[in-house]
Amino acid sequence: MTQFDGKGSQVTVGVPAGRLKPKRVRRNLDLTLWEKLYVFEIIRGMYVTTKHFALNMLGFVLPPRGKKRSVFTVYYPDEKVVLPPAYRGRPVLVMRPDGTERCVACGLCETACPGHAISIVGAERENGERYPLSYVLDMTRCVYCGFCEEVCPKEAIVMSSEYQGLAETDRSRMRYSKEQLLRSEESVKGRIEYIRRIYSKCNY
Amino acid sequence: MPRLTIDDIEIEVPHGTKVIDAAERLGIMIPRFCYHRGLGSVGACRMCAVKFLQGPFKGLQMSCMIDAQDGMVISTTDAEALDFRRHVIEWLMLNHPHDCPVCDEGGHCLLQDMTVSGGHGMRRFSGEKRTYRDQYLGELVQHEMNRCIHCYRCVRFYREFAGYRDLGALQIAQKVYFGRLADGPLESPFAGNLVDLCPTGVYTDKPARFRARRWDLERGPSLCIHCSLGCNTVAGARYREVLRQEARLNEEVNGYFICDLGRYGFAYAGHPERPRSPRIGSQAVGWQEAVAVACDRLARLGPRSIACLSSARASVETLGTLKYLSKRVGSDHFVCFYDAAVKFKMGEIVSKLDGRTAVSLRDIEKADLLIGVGADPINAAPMLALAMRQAQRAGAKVVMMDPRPLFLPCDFEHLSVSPELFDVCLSALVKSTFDRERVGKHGEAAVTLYDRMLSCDPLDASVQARLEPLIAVVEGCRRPIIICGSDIAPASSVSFAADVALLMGEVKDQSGVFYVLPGANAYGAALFDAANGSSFESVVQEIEDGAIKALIVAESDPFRYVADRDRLQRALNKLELLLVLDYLPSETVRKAHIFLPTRAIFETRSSFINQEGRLQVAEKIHSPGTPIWQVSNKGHPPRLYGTGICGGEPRAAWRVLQQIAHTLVHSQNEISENDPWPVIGGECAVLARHHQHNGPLHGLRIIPQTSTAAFFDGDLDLQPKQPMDGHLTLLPVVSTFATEELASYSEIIQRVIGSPCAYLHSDDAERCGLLDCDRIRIAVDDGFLEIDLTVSDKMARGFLILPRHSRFEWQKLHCFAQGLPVEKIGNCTP
Repeated sequence: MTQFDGKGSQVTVGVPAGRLKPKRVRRNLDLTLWEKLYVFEIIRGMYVTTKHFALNMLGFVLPPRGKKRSVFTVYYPDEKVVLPPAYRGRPVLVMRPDGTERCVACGLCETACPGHAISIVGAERENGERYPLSYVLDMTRCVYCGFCEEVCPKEAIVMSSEYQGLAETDRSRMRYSKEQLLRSEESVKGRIEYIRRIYSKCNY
Repeated sequence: MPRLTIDDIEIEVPHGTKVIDAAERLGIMIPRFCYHRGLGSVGACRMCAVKFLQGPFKGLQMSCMIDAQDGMVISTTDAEALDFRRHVIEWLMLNHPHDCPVCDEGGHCLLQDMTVSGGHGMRRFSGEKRTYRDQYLGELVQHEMNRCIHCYRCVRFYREFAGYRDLGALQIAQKVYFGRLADGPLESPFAGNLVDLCPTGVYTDKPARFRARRWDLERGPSLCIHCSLGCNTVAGARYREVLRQEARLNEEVNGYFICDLGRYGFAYAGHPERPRSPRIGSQAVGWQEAVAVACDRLARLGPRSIACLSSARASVETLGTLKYLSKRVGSDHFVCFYDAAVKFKMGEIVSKLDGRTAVSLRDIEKADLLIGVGADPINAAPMLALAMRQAQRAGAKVVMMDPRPLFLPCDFEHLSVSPELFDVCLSALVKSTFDRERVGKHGEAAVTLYDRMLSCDPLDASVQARLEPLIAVVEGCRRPIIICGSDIAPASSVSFAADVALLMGEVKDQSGVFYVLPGANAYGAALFDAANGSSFESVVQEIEDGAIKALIVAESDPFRYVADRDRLQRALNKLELLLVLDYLPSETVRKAHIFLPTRAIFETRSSFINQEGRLQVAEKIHSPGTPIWQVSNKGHPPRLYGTGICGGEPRAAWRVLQQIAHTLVHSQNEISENDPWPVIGGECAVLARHHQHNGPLHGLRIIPQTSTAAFFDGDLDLQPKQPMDGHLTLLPVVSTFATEELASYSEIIQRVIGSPCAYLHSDDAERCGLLDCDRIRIAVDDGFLEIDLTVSDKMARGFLILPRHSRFEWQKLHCFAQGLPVEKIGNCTP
């Protein structure tokens, strides 16, 4: 089995091509009669909607037991939402306990970024370690796709759950420097654990 | 020719072709680490294993070690071979660090590609990795020994191919170390090739360190224009700045390699002080206004009061269009060479060089005798020295006639004679190979030349004794080539060498002459310049007389070459218009009345003709503009929402010149302004054939098949001038990195050049009371010149060799021939 790479030459090392079969997608799902009727599903949906409506309307007056309250609306900015780790907010750089950045300025996020939002200038520390002399993230261009986080070999850039201050009235204020982006490992721990979990499923 | 079958495809290849090459011809790339076409095979990495199914070999074999033979049936994708290769990758990765993110090779690393394509994703070995201490190898090459996979390519290139000894394999077994005995810059001017050769990231490009990944670069075929050989390169630019150059394979010119000057000399194009906008006086103006004012002022002057000046670094397009402009405005003066002697020599070379005698660097590698006449390959054209070494490795004899203390990375016979004796020595060497009958085929003039060669006086005894054994070598050789410099070699030698090569072609299998010229496009400049009789001297004279009132300087800097700068300054002050087109922040540019910025080689498609008359094309790599690092102070590319590019004003010189020409002199049927070649063809008959030139792969030789130039008829038997007592003849010579104009604007090269150093023969030194490592002072008209002295035995007596070094004001030495007193003032500066 041979494959052709982009340059037109055969690449003969590696896995035989047969393994890379595309997954079959089944489109004609077998629905049960109950599901085919739809009416009961609609009623179930309407029940959920009505329940939330009623709780929001009466939640302050009738707090359910055990919970503080069951209102889904949040009084932002007095109250803040705690978002799940799967949420992709502002990309931030992870700082090691000694205050330096994990980033080694390899340039992969710069390459993967579809909006060209990242630019890095690499340099070398005295101990021979490569680090970003400057790391600029232009949030006017960021589309929160999370590719930077996915390609990062050092778990140095992660999509945090920060959602505040992402919008500005001036473009120049939306360009963040390395210092503005650094966050402690502790503050993004949840996200790091989450990406380890989801990306370990991918078979590269 | 053997026929073999590889992966069910039949192919016929020449004898001696390795199986790995035969597969490559079919487009099947067998993975390899140690094998390189330029270096040959050693079978060190075991990566190119393929399964031999039928024929003289059976089973798993290394395809780089086996010559293709009849009846071989080979499978490159046999399961056994695949498995073997997978294991090879795995054990090569045992000690390789997983540092691809911080490695500059990441992205174009052979090991990385093979690891990924081999499917080696998980490390099974849990032991410790081997580590080494890295060395400082100078400013050009970065060393990171932990990444080594022991393919031996570096050592094979550095020691065997290039012939330098300061890098080698140290220690044994598992701990083999590739490096120097101690930290220090690599001595070889070819060290940059280690970067290209290393299949992984042991040697990486230091100036481009951390600047870009391969995929970030805008890459394209370019040329090296730092010497006359015209080596092919691949330039890689990012953010409007060339960051890295690699060698590009051209079988006829440079092969797989280039020298460090070509690899690292590109920084002039991104010089921080490079002028990028048109100026009138010191006022920056728009293009339209600048060109309009220039045309207006030129139009007010009479037709004969304009002179045009260019140089050997300008492209064919620039030169041709300038010539066109000069003709259109009725100018008599079109000068490309500042030195009248060089101009005369170039005229001789262009008229003599033809299809019978011109040879390429590849032919030099195949020669069995190389005779150097006033050529210093390492300093003037380093890749020539590499080709000479390959010839010598294959058994050729190398004879060099030169007064300088030459160094070559191969064994050679050095005849340290003064330049006046080159002709006599050469004729003494070759005359016994000819016979009158065969020479007679070339006509009466050839016979006369032959007779004159016979009647040459023998030289003094010591030289005669060294010549004797060489004469037998010349008689026995089959493919002799004469390598002739154009720098210190007198005009007679330049002409005589071509005639000897032509006559030798009659009695030998192949013979030729290889000239080393004074600039990347010296041949092209001579094509345009040769026909007219004006010299730079006469231009200056006429400016002083008031006859010439305007000077158009296109990509040239007279202040760099002219000895009498005060006179030049006075002359330029008299001009009504000094119109300068250039891309360097030169002295002339600063003095320009009107300045128009032009594009460097990377910013426009341009053609150059190398020393063997080969027309080669460099493609546009990136659009002109101030490098983003300079605009943003090494930061993020600015997000500007304007229309123009910062510093993007430079235009191709030929476009500007053509526009000026057409504005000044209107005509009905204007030639297309998007293609310079119709204009160039009109100016030069030889180039007229190449209107539709699309840049063939290996360039296009434009020399005639047979030249009509007459045989040399000067006097061969010149006696050297006797030096006055205590006085020495000064001989200014080129120096590898320090002489070339473009490199002097290149920051990387400036970091690596050594301090200038003069050479003196030990006898002369004793006579003058000087010692090695003295600091000497040379009295010139306006003051003194100071330089360190090296005393050598391997040079001609009576000469003081001075480098044309950018840190040594050699221009002050007005007259080289006249002897100047030299005195000691102290010891060498450390």
